[in-house]
Amino acid sequence: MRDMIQEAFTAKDYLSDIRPIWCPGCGHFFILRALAQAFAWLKLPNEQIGLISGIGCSSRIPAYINAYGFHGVHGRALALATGLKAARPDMHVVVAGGDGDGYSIGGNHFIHACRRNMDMTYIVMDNEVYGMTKGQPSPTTEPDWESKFAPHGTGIRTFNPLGVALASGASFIARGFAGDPNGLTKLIIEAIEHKGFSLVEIKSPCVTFRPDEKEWSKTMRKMNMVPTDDVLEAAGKIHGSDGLDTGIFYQATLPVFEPHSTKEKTVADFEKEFEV
Amino acid sequence: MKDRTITVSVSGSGGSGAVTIGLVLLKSIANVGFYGYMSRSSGPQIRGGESSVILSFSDHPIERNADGIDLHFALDWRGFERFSDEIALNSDSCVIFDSSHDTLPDMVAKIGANIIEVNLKEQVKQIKESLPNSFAIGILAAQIGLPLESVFKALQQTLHQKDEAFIKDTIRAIEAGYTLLEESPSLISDWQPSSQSRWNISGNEACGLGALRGGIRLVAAYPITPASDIVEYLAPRLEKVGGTVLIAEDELAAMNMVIGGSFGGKASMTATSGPGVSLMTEAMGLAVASETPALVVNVMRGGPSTGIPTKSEQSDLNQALFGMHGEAPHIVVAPLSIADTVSATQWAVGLAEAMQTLVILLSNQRLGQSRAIVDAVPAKTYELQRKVLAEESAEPYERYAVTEDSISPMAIPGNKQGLYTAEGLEHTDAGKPSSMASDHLQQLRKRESKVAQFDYKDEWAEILTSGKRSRAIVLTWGSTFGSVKESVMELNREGMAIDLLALRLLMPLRVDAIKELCEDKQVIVVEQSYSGQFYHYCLGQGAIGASSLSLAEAGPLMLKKSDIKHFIKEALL
Amino acid sequence: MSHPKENHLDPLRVLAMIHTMLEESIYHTETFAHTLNVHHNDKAAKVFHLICEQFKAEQGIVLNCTLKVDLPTIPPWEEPYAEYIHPSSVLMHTNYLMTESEAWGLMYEMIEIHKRFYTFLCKENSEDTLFSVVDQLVNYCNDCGEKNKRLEAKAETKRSKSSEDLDIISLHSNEGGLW
Ligand SMILES: Cc1ncc(C[n+]2csc(CCOP(=O)(O)OP(=O)(O)O)c2C)c(N)n1
Ligand code: SF4
Ligand SMILES: [Mg+2]
Repeated sequence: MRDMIQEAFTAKDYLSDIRPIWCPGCGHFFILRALAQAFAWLKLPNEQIGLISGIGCSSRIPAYINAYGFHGVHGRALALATGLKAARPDMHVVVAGGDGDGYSIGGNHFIHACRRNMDMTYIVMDNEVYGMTKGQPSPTTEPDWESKFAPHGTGIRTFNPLGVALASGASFIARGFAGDPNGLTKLIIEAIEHKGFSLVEIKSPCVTFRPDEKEWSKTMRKMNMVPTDDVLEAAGKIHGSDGLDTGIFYQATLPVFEPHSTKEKTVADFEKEFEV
Repeated sequence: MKDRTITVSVSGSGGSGAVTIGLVLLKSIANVGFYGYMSRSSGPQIRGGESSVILSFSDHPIERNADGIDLHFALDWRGFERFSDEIALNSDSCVIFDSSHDTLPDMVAKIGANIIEVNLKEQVKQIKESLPNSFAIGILAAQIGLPLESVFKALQQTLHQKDEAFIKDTIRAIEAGYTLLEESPSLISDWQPSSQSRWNISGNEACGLGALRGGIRLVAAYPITPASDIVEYLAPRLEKVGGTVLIAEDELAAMNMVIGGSFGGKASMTATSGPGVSLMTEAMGLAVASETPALVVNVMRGGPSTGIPTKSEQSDLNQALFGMHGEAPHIVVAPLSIADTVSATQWAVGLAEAMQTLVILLSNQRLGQSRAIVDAVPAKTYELQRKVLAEESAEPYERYAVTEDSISPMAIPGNKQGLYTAEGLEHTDAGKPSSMASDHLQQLRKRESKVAQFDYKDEWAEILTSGKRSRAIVLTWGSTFGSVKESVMELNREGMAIDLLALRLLMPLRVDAIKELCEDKQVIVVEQSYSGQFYHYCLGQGAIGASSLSLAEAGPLMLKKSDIKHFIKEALL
Repeated sequence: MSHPKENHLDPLRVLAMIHTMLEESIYHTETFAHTLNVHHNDKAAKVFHLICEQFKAEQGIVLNCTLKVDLPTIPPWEEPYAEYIHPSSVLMHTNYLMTESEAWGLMYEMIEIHKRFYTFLCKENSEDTLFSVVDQLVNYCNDCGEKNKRLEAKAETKRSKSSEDLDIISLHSNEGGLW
């Protein structure tokens, strides 16, 4: 029997031997599991997956997945992934990281990755804090959240990743919750299956620096509706939401950037251009 | 002119066509079998500012402008003061200018050069579609002694898309210009045409060609002067040989894209200039730490900060050598001339691939944006390839395993046997993050030793010996090589005995080899930086002794041959 | 993509769902036991570990009854019944400073989730084979319940460490500190 079960792809086939050492309770654990489940359901060959990350608690994820991974520098995962996808269109490229990594230091790459709309999936493990550096406010932190770094809060309004993604040209925009593993797995599967740049912004409690975020298990809601491909409607939904709705806010067929190259010439042909 | 070299400059403002004149004359000289070199300079305006070209022609390969100007044509004098230190007119110069809208400026009159006035407005009136610069081409061609056919051929090569009536009138204007002045000295009558096959190529094009030859398949870049030409050369070509050019949102992205492409198994590079390198530096360290091959071309301009974007200097050497945090052994290579840029770039790609690390290629604005007629550069075979993990490998894979040559096979995504996560954190040989002292030391040693023990063969430098027991040796690198070489050769012809060592490989520095060449000789280090970066580097590494002398001059003006010769002579008194 | 709901009470599908639920519980208790160890909370880790072993035994019952049968693959998003909650969801309340007694509390909640599923099946199901498996599972859970109660009675209830004592740096130190 065991053998028969293993014939099918299971999450185990995608989890590496290295075990995560996130804080017990951290939302990132559930996202890791959901990601492995999604890979298994899609039966992606491990060697065709490129899992790219930056730096942060969340960005440790490639080490835990049995695939090709790149644990790069803080904030640049999307750029590195863009290079990989351009060089290797055959790879399934998944980028994962935190809210600090993606929306703050990597904010410019976020905008342009959406705009490029290359066929890849971006998973943001948003805990509204810089976890790894011990609890400083991130772009998604509420303005009045007090911390050592910002004793009176930042006083700066929060960043709206879904709104920015929509305005920048991403073609799949969803929000998930780490505490809803089944719903999350489904979102990730649909994001990977989507042709184009897919953003899955996942609320993932940092139990250590934001213990209050455990409340999300009570407050997050499922939005059961067919995704719209109408930008105005999506904008309405995104901006109308208090940030606690999960589901696909927008999915559309938009031009995907795919470098096209041929082999019609050789270097020798170009050398001739210089002849006098 | 004694060494069968003539130097012609052209200046003008607002689209007067100085650069076109230069391009046509350069092609013309190539058409009659000679060599030439053209440097250009422009004002800060994006369009319509004043611009100038300086051309040096010879019957032997030449890759620098002579110190003095033999013949200058001013289409007008507006903004000329900007170029007055580059276009070094002297009392032997012949200056021709269009007197229809300007009078001779005092600063030029004072020089005492031979002045010839022409009224091009009147000429233009006589031929319908003609432009003043067409007459200038004719006048200069006659002065130089170029046959008209070679000019017409060059014109066809330059203006291929313009309409026929225009070309016809332009030809008439050139013919008119050709006979406008009574005296035409024909400066090249005693030159020997070359039978070599020759190329008309700029340094930035040479870099692009070298990249193609090296097998580059991904270029990611953000525009910056004076490096953009490399990308513009590659963009339409790379995609026809199976590669891609990615337009990055900034240099931080560009460098990371390069690493991503290379991780995917494709040789990858970026081209930028100092400010861009500053932004790339963190990710350059990532290429070193994760042992991902990557080539960064820095076409240096004047710095710091935005500095002098359109002009040349060799002042990013320290940045290339020491710019990264932590200890990040990598390779720094510099081409010595336009022709050398082709092979140096090809070599640089190979070094990055073979050693799985970062290679910085230091070119500069003078090398990159100058154009020359050079002997065709044959493709080389360096046999430098990436060591990759075999598809059928059976052993458990350790990405950063310590091997004999410290280079571990790299698994290319798609290979079932090599799943791994590339790491920018310090790691174990298996690629697991680790902050243990022992792992750190092991990996530091590995990264250092693969670079240190690599066989760079003869490519590391150009060495010219005087053939006698030399009393002195001049050390230089990059674009100053041309001037230094000519200076040393002239001094040796005058009876001195001086060797020349021009480094192509700046890091790791071949300390022992340099020491051996310098033994018992007065060492003179020549470079284009204000603070003597190269000199201090060689000194600090112990490659040269404390009695070594430094000739270091800031850009953007090219080091003059006469100054170099003078310095060497003084040093050896 | 459409994911049609199918009949949940097909015995093989139900068994596959139980299997999947247990698989999730095993993975998470094992993973959390490991990270609790890494965070120097061995007491709580031990509880997680013990329960993980019980979950494995529970899964053994399912596998024993389904010998030679190929269980269908259940889409990972499919939930057995409307009120079902994923067993891992209680684990968000794990804490590296938690007491042994708090660890027991969380484990009970997970066991409860399993039990609720079994109870649901007892009510809805009419299939004999399935009934016997579920029966075995419920019995096993009850047996464990007795044993667990005795152990829990001895559990520490006071926190030995405060968040101030535990420097989070130690948590990451053997993998490169705080990046
Ligand atoms: C260039 C640079 N700046 C700062 C840091 C320090 N740093 C490491 S992770 C991090 C923030 C991580 O926050 P986030 O991306 O939200 O991930 P989380 O830990 O919350 O999952 C920072 C600021 C760094 N590694 N590199
Ligand atoms: S600090 Fe926060 S984000 Fe980081 S592992 Fe701990 S709980 Fe997770
Ligand atoms: Mg965060």
